[in-house]
Amino acid sequence: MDTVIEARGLTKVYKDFWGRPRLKALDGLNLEVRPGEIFGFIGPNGSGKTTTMKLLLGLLFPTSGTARVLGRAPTDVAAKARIGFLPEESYLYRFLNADETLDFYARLFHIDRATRRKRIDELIARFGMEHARKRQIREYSKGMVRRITFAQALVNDPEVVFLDEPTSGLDPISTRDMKDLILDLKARGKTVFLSSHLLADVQAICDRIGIIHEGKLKEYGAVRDILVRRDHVALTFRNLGDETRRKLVDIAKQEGAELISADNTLETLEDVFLRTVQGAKKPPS
Amino acid sequence: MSSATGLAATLGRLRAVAGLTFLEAVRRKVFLIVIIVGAAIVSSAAFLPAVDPSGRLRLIEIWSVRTVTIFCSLGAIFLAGFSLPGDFEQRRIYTLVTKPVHKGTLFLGKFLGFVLLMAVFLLIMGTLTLVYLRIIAAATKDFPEARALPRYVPQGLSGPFEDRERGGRGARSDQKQEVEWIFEGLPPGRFPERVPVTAKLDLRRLPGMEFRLEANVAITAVNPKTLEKHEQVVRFQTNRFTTFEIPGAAISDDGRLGIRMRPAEPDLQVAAWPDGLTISGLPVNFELNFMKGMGLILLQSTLVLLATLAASTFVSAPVSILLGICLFLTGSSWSFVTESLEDVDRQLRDQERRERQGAPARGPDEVPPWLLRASGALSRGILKAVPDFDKYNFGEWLLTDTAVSGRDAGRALAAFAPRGAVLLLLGLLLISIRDFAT
Repeated sequence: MDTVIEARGLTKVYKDFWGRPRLKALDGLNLEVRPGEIFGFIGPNGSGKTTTMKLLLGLLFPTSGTARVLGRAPTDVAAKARIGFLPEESYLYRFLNADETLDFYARLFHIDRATRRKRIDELIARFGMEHARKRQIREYSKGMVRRITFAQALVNDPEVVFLDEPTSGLDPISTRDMKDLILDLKARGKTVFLSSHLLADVQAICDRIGIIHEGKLKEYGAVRDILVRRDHVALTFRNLGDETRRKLVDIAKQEGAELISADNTLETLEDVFLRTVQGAKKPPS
Repeated sequence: MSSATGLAATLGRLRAVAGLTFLEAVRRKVFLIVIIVGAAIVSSAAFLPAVDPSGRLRLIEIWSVRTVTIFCSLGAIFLAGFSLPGDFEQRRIYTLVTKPVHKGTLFLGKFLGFVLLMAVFLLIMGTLTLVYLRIIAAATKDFPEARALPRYVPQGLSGPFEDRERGGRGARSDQKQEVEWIFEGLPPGRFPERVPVTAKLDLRRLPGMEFRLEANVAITAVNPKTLEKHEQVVRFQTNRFTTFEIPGAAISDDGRLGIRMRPAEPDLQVAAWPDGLTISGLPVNFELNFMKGMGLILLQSTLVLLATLAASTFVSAPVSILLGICLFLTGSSWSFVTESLEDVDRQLRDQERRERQGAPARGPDEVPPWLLRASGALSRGILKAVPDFDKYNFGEWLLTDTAVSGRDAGRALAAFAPRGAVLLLLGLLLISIRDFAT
């Protein structure tokens, strides 16, 4: 299969109680997501990101156009059996504990008891929730709820995972852990559709992106193709002396190049933060 | 067939959703609180004034059944009213319908979960009441035995004159001729030596047919096979149930019986209806019968639940709860509305009669006929849609020591099934066409 997620002329017009058009949230969206890639879907608030995701998940009916997930309509039960969804907020039953939550969602996939138990144990361990698996979710911190919500999205070992703001409200350590998880999904051949506000995260982990604004797809393609400035070149050296640097700059100028900057490179704040608190790389209990 | 589809998968999902619905009510302590409060109210019957032990028995029975009925129906309305709207508003629906679950399965699963909850509630409350009755009986001197007698209704009624009141199915007799109720298919060996009979008559004075309050009525029980007759005179009050006994020997060995009545006084007619007389058999197990009665309450509550749950797929929690309460109140006041409709019809007939006689059709304080007709049509429509909850009112059976018969259960089911099916289909349709924009 060349395309895992496909949208063709996808349009959504919200109507009022009397059926009169109120808002065109999505306008003729065309989109393809390929197998095994992480696709980043970004845009400002109200741009149509959530509407797109809801249409792709069958939570909304399109006004016109079509959406296909794994070659089927998003409302098709057979397609839903092969996808996972992490919503922006954690919408879980707060009176259940982690074990019961995952077991309930696994039962919706008609997974047999032995497989359920094995997979739940794996997910609980993967998300570092062993210590809290018997506590009701209403007693969890926000990060713990987020992790168990992510775990429920993976309970069926899905082929395609839809992630809506997966790092929303998480501290840097948990954010990094989430990003590692997403990369791990890609390494295992899963396709990830990632909607996020955090551009740095999207840039860091996505293969291709789409930028949506006012219901229309404005940019669409490989991250590098979109971000690259073909008339700018940056060379990065280690242990480059001042004299050598001057010589290099002179050569470049003689060849007609314009020097924009010749500075030391910076680490990202995230790298420094994580190195500083490295001992706590695993999320605290 | 993939694991996502197929009957087994659907049933598995139904079980999961139903189990979650049940567990939610248990974990939220709703169930426990309802049972504790219900049990407290039932046990408070002991502190209510009662004239004698017999009155106390009735009080406990009725108090318990009324409490259970109201708690079960209101519990169903509130739990169902908040359940799906809660999932929509708290957006838990996102993590449910993105799984391989049809929206209809979700609706059905919730419905089954609540029915299970109500059934367990009724079982617990029924058991508590029965245990409580036993304790009170053991601790109270002369406390009467709680009984459940099977009642048998006649297959037909005949008489010399037709009676057009009460649905036009009645018959009247004078001192020379008799009305006769015919019984067929009575089970042999299920009657005591003296068979209790309960009957209700209208007593009409000749020639104007005005009601008379009390009169003596001559009664003859006839064995249709041997033609053996057993005669007696019983004092009746108009439109009030009177109990007397006939010999068991009047019932033939092939299960037939005739009961004839005529006024024992001159210038009088008695008016009777087919369902105005019943005979009682030997008592059946009271506990088992009590649980059958709980089953009737379950049917009524299930109907209220379905209406609320179906409404909650499309409207907010408060509106669906209001609809459920309206259904409960309308069903509970069905008899009252029916009687009011008879009054409306009578008033219309009077107005037409006066018009024919050339007199003013209506007096200054009477409602215009068009308004009477419109309100009558509206009420009739509502009464067609809503069943008579008296069919599920187990308290009525208890008050008369009557066992819930197969016929009673059949009538209750017949009133439930079409309405339940329509509400179920409506709920499935509404949830399948709605999306989740917010």
